[in-house]
Amino acid sequence: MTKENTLKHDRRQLRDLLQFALMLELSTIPPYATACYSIKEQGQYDRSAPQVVNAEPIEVIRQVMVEEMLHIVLVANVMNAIGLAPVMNDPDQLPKYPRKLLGDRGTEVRLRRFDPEQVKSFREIERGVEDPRQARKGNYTTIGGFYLYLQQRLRDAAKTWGEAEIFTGQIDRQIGKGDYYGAGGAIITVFDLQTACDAISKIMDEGEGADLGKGAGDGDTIPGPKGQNREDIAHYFKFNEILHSRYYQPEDGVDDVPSGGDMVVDWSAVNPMRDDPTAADYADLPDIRAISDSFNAAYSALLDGLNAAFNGNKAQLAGLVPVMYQLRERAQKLLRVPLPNLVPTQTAGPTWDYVASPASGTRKSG
Amino acid sequence: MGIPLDDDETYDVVIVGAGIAGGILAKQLLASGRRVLILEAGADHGDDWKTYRAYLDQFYLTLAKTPNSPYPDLPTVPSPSVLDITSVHGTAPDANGYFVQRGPIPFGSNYLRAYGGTTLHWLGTSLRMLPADFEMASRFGQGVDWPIGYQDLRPYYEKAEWEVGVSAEVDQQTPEALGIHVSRAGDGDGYFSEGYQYPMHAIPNSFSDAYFASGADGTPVATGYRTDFGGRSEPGLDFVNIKVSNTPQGRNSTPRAPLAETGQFCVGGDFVEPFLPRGATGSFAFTGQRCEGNSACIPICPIQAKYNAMKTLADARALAATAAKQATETKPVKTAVRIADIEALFKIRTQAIASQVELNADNRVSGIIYKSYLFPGVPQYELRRARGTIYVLAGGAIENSTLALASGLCPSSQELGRNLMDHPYMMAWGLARDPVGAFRGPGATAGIECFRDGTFRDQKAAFRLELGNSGWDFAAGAPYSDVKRLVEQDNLFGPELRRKLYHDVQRQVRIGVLVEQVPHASNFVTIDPAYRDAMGEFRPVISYDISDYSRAGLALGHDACMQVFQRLGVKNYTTYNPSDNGYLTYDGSGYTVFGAGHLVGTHRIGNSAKTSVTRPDMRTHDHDNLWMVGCGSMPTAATSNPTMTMAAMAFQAAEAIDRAL
Repeated sequence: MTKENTLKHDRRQLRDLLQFALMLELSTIPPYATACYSIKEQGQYDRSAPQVVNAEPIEVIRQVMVEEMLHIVLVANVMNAIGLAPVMNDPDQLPKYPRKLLGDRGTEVRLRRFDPEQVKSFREIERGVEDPRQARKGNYTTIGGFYLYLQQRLRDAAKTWGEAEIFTGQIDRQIGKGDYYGAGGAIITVFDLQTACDAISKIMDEGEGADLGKGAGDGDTIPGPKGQNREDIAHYFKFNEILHSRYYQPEDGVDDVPSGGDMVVDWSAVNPMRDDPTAADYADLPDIRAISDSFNAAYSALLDGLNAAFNGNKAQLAGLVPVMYQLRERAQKLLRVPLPNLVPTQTAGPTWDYVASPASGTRKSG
Repeated sequence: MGIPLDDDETYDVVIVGAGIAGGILAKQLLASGRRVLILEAGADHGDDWKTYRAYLDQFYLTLAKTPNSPYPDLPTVPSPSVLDITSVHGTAPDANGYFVQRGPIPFGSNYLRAYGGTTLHWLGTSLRMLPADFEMASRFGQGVDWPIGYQDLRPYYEKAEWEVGVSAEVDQQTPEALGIHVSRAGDGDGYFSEGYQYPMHAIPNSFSDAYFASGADGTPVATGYRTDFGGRSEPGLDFVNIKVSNTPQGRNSTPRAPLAETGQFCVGGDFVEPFLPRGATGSFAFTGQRCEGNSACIPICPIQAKYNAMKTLADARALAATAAKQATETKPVKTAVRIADIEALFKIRTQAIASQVELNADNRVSGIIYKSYLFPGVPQYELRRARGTIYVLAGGAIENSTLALASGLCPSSQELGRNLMDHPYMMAWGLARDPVGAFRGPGATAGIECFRDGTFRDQKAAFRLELGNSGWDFAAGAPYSDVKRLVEQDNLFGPELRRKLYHDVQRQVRIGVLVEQVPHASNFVTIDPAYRDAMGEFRPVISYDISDYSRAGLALGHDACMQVFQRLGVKNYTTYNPSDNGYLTYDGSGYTVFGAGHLVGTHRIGNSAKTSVTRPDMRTHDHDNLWMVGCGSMPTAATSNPTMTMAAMAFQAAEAIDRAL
């Protein structure tokens, strides 16, 4: 093989890995969001005795979710720095449920309502890497392990070919602080190996903890009162907080139970959504299908918008905020509708299917 | 009255009122090592997320979404409500609500007595005054001059804008950029200091703002007859051209990245780090780091992206906690920080109604007697006395006055409680030809500022126009009133009702006219032993009218709105009904006004003890160790919403107090 060809080969391999990472981050969002949406919350107050129902667990899951969104943007930045085009709306690559976390391996990921089993499975998604040395060689079953491998491949490629050969992207494609702010931490603009590794480290830290599984903190700062900025908690521990009905403190060790304040969790204030709903469930139910279609239209618009934003049209990002509100509204609408003839009752739920719009110009990978 | 129990601790400074003024004072004084006590009449610790959620629940459930609707109105701490206002007829005062209204026009503004104060329900409009506003008497023969000028206040405006976190662009906010024909050439020079930047980028104009700008920008409106020739060959009508401008707002947007290599910003002479937007207090710190356009700014921001004084108060408490921790670390034997250690430095005593300010023989304040009540709804209390070296009243223009009057303070000028001002708020509303996206985004993101100054101010009051983003909400109770009309009158239901409702509501536009008032001794708040609340405290008794000067401004404002509507082809639906509570007439036409919630000018600053209650540094003329801080200190109201000016003055007062200690 000529030098050109092997460089091409390495770049292609990086593209496959990073594109996989992009879909991996995306695949966590529907399960998290579905669990949040299934919780009875807004607009369902008991008029005689208004009370807060599960506001805290919703907030905790939401915090994880916005950090996953940040991770998507970080991966896209790494891809754009290398001159690779991120693809967000290829139906063949988009996650379908139930699925294995890492495609062919890892924990099972499903679309289910908010219950202890589902939160335990979320915790599994964010579990720390088991053996870093093996992971770097490609033997991994966790997200953290996958990123260690990815980071290693990136380092190897940069070492072999020089950073200039790898980081050939246009800087104006980077999503920066002006484009993305206030959701899950600070964005990192990527232009060389160091910043690329920083971005990947940030993804790992937020998932499993700042020093890869020694403490609950993730190194991020939550702006607080003067001199009292708090350190954020990594995802694995956030889900543990819900299971224990108690908050962690950043100093808490990885094997400790949470030692912070109490969190109120009401497992019963949840709509009993059907597990892993699919379009087939609504085949003969035109009213429900109409809501489901409108949900999928919003989801598709979100993916198309992200695809455009990552490929040069950054202004699209701001317009996606209302789309995300639509997702919530339409999903909650679905979750309030019981499916017919089922005992005990099961409600409809979002199916998270991508529907290409004629204008979206879906691109096939490869 | 029983015998009060003395508090154990004595503080450097005792502040009455945990709002933005009290919060800024506490934070600044703690930063310079002073020990501070705040007495707050309100019952709630809204910075606990559960209390804040309870506010939200209350807001969602309430039918009339008035500014105070989310917050508890308790017999122990009643707050004025806009729902209590009725017309005042003859000599019998209207005593429906907390205010006793003597009229002739009911005073329409309210405030909130709670932890965090009225910033909990403010809109967030963060404007500075104009240089001419400080010289109303000498330039226009109206009102009084301030003892300080714009340039004196400018560095403190910067600090205030960085404390609140204001989103705006400097180059869009100079008088010239706002399209103001300043009344004296050169007023616009140095409006912002060299290189100054707001902490965050502007919040973008709404779709409806763009609609107004596209149709109305450049429309000439005659403001009056030009008496001087102004370089032209003959006198004539003076025109300003309408210009829609982005409004500086105290809500989070994208923080500004520094241009300087130091990575810092210069704010009021100090170098500070880039602004880090703070969201909600407590467990929900993740939310609210950026405005999501929830459109409920008044009465409550669901995510706390809008500034409220609880953020400043939390800063103050954090400063005390840090100082207490440092103190324990220097001790030879390390001990944990006790709450008592922190509270010895800074304590916020809620559910404590300041009832009387006590004077000693030297006419200095020796203590404040307050009523501490255990249960928010039960008017039973324990009488206590708080002591300090310096005392500050920071409970708002009305509460400061009633407390001072009840205690017999500041008698020499006879101005205490007088010169009460507001921005009479009149609305014009109509239906646009096309949907303008009403009920999206913050309550107002842009305004028309070009009438805020000009040579016409000797004849008629200046004003600003606020472009509303939420349809006819304040004007006609939309969208609830529309639902009622369509269901009960047009018998619509189901999809048809939704379609029609969407069609109507999406076309609703509303402009608010906020007109300047100048001080009048006959507009005043006083006390009367006949009117007390459940705790035995004096209720404010208010006499209030709107002078022809302001009415002339309202009339011009109305004309301007009509011209804007005409240009845009907006169908006018504005009606002012003689049975409205705030109905008034001018020059043969009738208008209805409301309060803007801008309570200004009851203990104004001035150089003379004969004409003002407080000195330029807000220390009272009569009592050496008593300060009165807040919008009440402002000698004139100008056209800007007063919070930024008041916050700037609070920074000034904090320096003066620190020097005096």
